[in-house]
Amino acid sequence: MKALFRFLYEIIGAPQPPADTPVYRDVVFPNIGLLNIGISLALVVIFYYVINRAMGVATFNKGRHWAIFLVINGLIAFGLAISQAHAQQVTDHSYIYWLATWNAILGLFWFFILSLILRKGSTNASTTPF
Amino acid sequence: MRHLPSFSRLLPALGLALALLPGCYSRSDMKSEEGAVEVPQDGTPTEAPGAVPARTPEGTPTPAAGPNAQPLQAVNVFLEVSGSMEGFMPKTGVGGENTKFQQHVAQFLSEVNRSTAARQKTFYRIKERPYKDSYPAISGTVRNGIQQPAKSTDIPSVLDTLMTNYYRPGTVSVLISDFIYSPKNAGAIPYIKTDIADALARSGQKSDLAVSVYGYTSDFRGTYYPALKAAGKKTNCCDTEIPYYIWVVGPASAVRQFDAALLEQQPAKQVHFGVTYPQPVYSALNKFQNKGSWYYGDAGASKRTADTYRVISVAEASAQQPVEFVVGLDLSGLPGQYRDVAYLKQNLKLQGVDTDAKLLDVFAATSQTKASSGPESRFTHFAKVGLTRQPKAARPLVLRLQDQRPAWVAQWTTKNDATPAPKTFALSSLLDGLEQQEGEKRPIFELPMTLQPAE
Amino acid sequence: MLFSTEFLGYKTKSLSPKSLSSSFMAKLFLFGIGGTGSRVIRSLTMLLAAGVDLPNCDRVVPIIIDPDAHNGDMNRTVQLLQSYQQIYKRLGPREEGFFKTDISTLSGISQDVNGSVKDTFIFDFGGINQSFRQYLSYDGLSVDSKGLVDLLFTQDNLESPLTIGFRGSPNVGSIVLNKLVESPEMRFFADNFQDGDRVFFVSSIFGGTGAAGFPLMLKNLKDTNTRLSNARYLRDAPTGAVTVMPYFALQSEDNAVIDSNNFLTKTKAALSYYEHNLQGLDALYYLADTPDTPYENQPGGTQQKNKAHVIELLAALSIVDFMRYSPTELRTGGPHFHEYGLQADAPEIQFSHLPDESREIIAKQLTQFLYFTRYHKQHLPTDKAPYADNLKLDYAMRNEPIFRELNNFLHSPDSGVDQWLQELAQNRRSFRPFDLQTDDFNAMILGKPVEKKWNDFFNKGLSHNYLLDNLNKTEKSIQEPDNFRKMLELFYDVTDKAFEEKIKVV
Repeated sequence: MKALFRFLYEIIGAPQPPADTPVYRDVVFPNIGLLNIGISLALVVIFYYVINRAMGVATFNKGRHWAIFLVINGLIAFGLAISQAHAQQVTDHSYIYWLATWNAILGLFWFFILSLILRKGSTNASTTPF
Repeated sequence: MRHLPSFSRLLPALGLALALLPGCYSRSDMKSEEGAVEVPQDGTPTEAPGAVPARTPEGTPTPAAGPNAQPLQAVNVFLEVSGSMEGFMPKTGVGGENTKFQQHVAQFLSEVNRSTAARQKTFYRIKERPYKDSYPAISGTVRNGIQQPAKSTDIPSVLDTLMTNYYRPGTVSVLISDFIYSPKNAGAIPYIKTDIADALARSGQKSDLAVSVYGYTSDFRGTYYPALKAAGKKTNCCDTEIPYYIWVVGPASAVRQFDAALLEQQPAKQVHFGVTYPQPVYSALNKFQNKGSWYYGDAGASKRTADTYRVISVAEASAQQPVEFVVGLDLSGLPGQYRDVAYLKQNLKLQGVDTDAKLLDVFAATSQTKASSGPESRFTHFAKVGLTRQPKAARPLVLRLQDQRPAWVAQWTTKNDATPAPKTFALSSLLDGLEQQEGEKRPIFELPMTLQPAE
Repeated sequence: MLFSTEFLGYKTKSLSPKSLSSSFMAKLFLFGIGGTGSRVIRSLTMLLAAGVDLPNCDRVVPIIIDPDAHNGDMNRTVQLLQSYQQIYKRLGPREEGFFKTDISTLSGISQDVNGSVKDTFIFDFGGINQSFRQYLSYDGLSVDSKGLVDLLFTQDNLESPLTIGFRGSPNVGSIVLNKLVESPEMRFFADNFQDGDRVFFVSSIFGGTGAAGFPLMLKNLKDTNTRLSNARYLRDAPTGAVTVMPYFALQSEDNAVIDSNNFLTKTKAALSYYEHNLQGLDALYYLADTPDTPYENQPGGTQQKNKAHVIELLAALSIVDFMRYSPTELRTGGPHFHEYGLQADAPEIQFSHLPDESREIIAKQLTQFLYFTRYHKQHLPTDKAPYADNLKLDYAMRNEPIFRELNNFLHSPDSGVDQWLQELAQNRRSFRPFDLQTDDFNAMILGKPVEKKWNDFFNKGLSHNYLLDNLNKTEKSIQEPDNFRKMLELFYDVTDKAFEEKIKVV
């Protein structure tokens, strides 16, 4: 699990400054990785199952509505990475923002993948985004 | 916009999502969860790959256990009262002035007597053999002078007596003397060392025998008896101060305990033989004067307690971008001799395999480091290590403190003590005899670490 | 209404349990005579499209008898029937749903067509493109015969071309229609008539074609000496008829061929004839209303395209009523005569004005059908929703002929459902159960808006959202590979649910 997240987040390069590497690898990466997937999953579930199924909302299923959630997911992922990094008292470094950006991109990716997997179970958005 | 009202239905859902945000667990959680479990009591990083197994002396209590340790079984204090000692303990003069010896030893005896570090305290005067004395009596002797000086006592036989009759676990013998050893003839001088070694070993080799020697000087008012009798005694000595010593003899742990309790506070020259010390607490520090691209390579590095980092992962190192890291050392469990920065600079050695890592500096804690909120506040000394080559694989790196005989020993040693001086005849040779007991000379401590390339 | 309001619904003895539909293919041969026949068949087609149940019958075979080949009413009825037929062919028989009952042309009921019968809903008069004088070969008649003809027919009658019908002249119609029995169509009809099949006539009593045609047709079918095959089946077949008495007036114009002021006179004459000469009829439905707005006076041709009228709808209901009786019931104590009465003499008829029995038959079905029609027009083309995606509606609506056919059936400006409802609502007396102007499904049933609680934020009644949600939900549960069948089943189910949940009763 840790290795996976480490791989995922070190695609954009090793953590900076190097001294914080263990914190990132042991704590920040798994934390934001899991939370990111969890939040994406939650948003997907909210969009496809809560709104577009349980609540019976049938007119909130367009691509643009999905995009709203996608963007929300990206923003949360961005903020999440920053807040998690700060919570671990890592040294301030521009890397944190690169990481947050990358996390946002991953968030979008998770949201997209989970959308494809889970949309079939939705009533009103089973064909969203396409 | 038909979807707007439906959007307002999302608010609770969004709220839920936001509630999820503040992380599942934090680093401090991990510390409290795992720190206790993972980190062994003696701090040996057994799980670190390629780490040198720590040398942990058997049965040595940790410094943390010190104050709570069992008190010593017994302390036997032997005060030499031969004629040569009279000058230290002159009869109280008209002006009521006394010697530094009297001042110091009386106080020391008092401290021993009052100390809770030992259960039983016994005082002896050494003449041809030890005579048991009470504390008031022996204290009186020191203060009021020797009433009936004994003949010169022979150091080997004293040691023999101590080893034979008083060497017990948890017991130390404290010998207060000028340690002027007069061989029977000049031909015996080269064998002083051997004589001492023999005396210590006569009643059987004691593997854990340790001797701490503390050297003092005092003004001297009386007759001075040089070791070389041919030179003749000098009355109304002396203008210079004359050295005297306190030897602590006993099992290593007892000696260390006694030293720490009663002698460490005193400003004195000191040298230790066979005393072992628990491995000091030490750790690499990743945010204290660090440089270059390296990080803790310990497994679960971020979850450890701050003082147990032993593995250095070097991501990148070159002459242009050297890696520097500082190892914090808590040497508070060691005698002052080994805490001395000058001593450390000379004798703290870094030994690595297949690396150009060098010890760049050794320095003591400052008020700044002590006040820091970082882990550096826990350490008394720091060793800075630098390297410019990335290790190719996990390699051991050891910080070792050599046990070097301090310089004062040589300075206080003389081959001819006919002229009174703050030197002692053949002191080096005497101490050589102590040293031989241990066979090979062991370092004070070895702090294993691991240098490895970043994963 | 001519009849007092105490007669509610079709007045008759109480209904006994319907006999179960026979195992063989029971047919209803429906003769629509004249312009009224066409218009009633149009209404019946609408009812069947809405899914109104027609018991004891698997297939309706409408035969429109109108010599006026260009009659506008007839043409759009035929168009509608053809549309229906196409749609039914794709849908096939089902337990319930829109377009539930099969409608077939005469030639369509048998594979054994020798080419003499065209595949059409219209009775082929073939070559009557001549005047009545020519038809009678007046000029070749003996002087005596000429005298008789002159006595029975006016000069006008003799000179009129037959192609525009009998112009309210039963005396002409009776001569021409009497010859029908010899046509290949009638022979084909008789050849394929089976035990259990039924016959029903729709005609107006005050016109030309209908008034004359109905008794003649009946007489010929029930004639014991007929040369038609299956004579016994024909004679024993349950037979019903609805005859519509004057319910509209025509604008009085000088020299007009048809004068509505004669309607009552003609009706009286016909009724007195019917009184003794309708042998073999099991049930006869009389319908009448007091005329209000005069129709534009168009004696025939494409211009005779009258707005749909509630009377026609009620006439169509009489067919449904007739089919609800078992053969035994019909034969016992017949013939049965029925009249129709409203709950109230309202100028604008809503569901609440209908008698319970009628309401039970049509209210829910028509409402469902309206919802479907409106949704089909309003939302279907723009719905980007899973059900639409799964049905591939985007492509289908544009490219598949059957979807275009349905679109035509529902929204054709000439013959579509929209238009039909529109006409019913605009006519006098008007049938206006729905608000056709509103886009809000909640307000579509007049006098019965869907109740929305002001404090229930989530309950928007019959919102687009509600329907969409149910469409998406239901679509998942329908296992049907054919997207057209699936779509109709889907909309039937959803509108059914919408009605049961949000309307309950009207």
